[in-house]
Amino acid sequence: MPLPHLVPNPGDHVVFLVLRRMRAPLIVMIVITSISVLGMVLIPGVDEQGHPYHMSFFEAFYFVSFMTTTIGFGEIPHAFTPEQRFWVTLCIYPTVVGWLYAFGSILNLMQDPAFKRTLFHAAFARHVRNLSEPFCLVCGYGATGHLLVHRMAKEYRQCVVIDIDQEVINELVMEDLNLYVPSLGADAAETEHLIKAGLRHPMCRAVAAITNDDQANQKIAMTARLLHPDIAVIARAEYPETERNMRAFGVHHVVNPFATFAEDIAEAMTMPAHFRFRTRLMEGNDPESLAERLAGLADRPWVLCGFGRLGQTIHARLSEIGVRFSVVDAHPEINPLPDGAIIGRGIEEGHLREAGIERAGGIIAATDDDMDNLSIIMAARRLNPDIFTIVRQVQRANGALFEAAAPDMVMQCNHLVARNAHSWIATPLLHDFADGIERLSERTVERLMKRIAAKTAAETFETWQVRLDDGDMPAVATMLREGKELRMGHLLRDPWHPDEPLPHIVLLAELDGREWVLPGPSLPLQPNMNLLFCGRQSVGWMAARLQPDALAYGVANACGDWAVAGVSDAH
Amino acid sequence: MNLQRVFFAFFVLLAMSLNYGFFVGDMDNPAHHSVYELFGAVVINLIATVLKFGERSHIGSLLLASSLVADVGLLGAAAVMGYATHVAGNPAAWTPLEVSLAGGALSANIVSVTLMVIEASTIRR
Repeated sequence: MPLPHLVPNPGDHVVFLVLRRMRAPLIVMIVITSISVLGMVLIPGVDEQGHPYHMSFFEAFYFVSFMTTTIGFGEIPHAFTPEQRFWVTLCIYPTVVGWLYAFGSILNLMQDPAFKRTLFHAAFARHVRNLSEPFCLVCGYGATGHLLVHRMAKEYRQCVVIDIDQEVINELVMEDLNLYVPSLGADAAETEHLIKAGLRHPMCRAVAAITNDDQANQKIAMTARLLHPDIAVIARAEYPETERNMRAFGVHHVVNPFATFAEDIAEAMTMPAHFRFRTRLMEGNDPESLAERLAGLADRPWVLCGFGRLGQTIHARLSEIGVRFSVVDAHPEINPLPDGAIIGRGIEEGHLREAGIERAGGIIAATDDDMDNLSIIMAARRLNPDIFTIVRQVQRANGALFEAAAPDMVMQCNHLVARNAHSWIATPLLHDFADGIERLSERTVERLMKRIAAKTAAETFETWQVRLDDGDMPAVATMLREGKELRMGHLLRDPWHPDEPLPHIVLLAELDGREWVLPGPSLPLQPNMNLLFCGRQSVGWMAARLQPDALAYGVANACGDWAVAGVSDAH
Repeated sequence: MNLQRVFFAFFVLLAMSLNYGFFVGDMDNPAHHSVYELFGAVVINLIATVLKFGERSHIGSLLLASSLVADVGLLGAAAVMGYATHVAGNPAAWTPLEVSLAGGALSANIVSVTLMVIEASTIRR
């Protein structure tokens, strides 16, 4: 029968190795010390009055201890005889050497990288085990992970980070985050490391597999699905094949940065208000002028330089909404170019002219080389100063160059993946809401945005999701448990001043798969309902969340027809 | 024959025999319990302990544990003896405590030797 608790865990291996290597120095030290002690005990001495005197083991050990460590208190308890001094002279050198050898080797072993890593991993695993709040496991701390973790930390959401590169983990440790983020420099594709990082921890709420390696992401996502099926898995996939595999395995949210970007442009061209609203909810800013300009360019011809993964995805998606492209690409042997494509890098003015740059409404520089992309938009602007420029940025380090070139729109995979991963983790209802408002007209969405803008300044705008339970909304949960009737309107007004609306609006309510898009104030609240809000988190809102007295006062003094019992819910 | 094994077995057995040599005799008669024998037992026990460092097998960890117990007993006896001689000033009164501590260490040493014999007997020839 296997005895699982007796199987040493792999980290113990190094500890055993270190102990084994400490054998020789320790034995040398014990032998030399004991011989010196024995000599001191056996060799006769005299006391101050000249009587014969033998040192006891205690005195000899005391003397040898301070001799060995080179402290040297002197000849204690009595001045030594010449015989004793002979013996001490003989002993001093070997004992000091033995001591230095032993301690030198032990200190050296303590510095052993494998040993230190084992200790560090053990400390990390202990820290993760002791986490008592919900956390998200982020695999990969490249540019994407960096953006995601920083945004999460800003919102005081706990993360645990794994990255294969110890260097970036060292950087993370030095970064100034709002909370301590445990981090591990190890390969996240290995199950053992994921478990160490808390994959099976009951408080683990989500796993984000956002390394720059599709294979690793796929392995992480599948491991998470198998070992902790209840939690949300967000995975980055840049190849359609990986995406298919992940979906087949039941990974909840696959983020393909290319498809996401193509979708963004398509939405901006066809439904600019929806695009603006969604961007506002996800990122906090309102790309008003961008959306307006893009919407006007949908029926103009476009030039697409670079027909790799991004180029193909954009081409496929925008062709669906009727955008016409001239494609320029330098690698016809790799990329399946459409008919009429121009072979070239797109830097040469001749090729751009051939692609019809003078008549084009916009140009997309989508090669995987930052310098080429910048050259393309520079050349395009020379030929057509009014052209709309979309450019792909691959390296985050080139940010300053892209800023100086000032294109109209920059496509950054890291940014898109981090944005989507964040919204899946922090506000998953936002995606349901975005689907839910698709059928609303542009004018309705514009009115909605005006309503929000009137309530909240752009700087303090937030989107947040809560659950009506004891953890998120204790005051509401308590009242509902007591059988009191609460309506949505009670959460939209300041409980201490029931006639004053709070600076936020409710976007979506969800309970057991049933959804209410833009619910009215008369919607009855129920335990464990999930609610999505946007606006500013005000003091009044905090009172409604946390203070039962405040909420009870607000309910008792609520005015408005929605507050009258018996009114049916609006949606 | 493996010289390393001889070395190992020698120290483990010597640790037990020196320990027994100190332990044997009247409990309260200091003349039966030589301080030199205790010194030898302590040193040899420490060496035996260090030799057991880094054994990954199950029996290896039991061996190390029993040796650590013997160390505790013998170092305790040595500390009591030093205290009795230099601080308390009446060594004879403390002898029974020293001997019983050494007796405890002896039991751990016997376990240690037994384990070593068991381990040796499981090796297939």
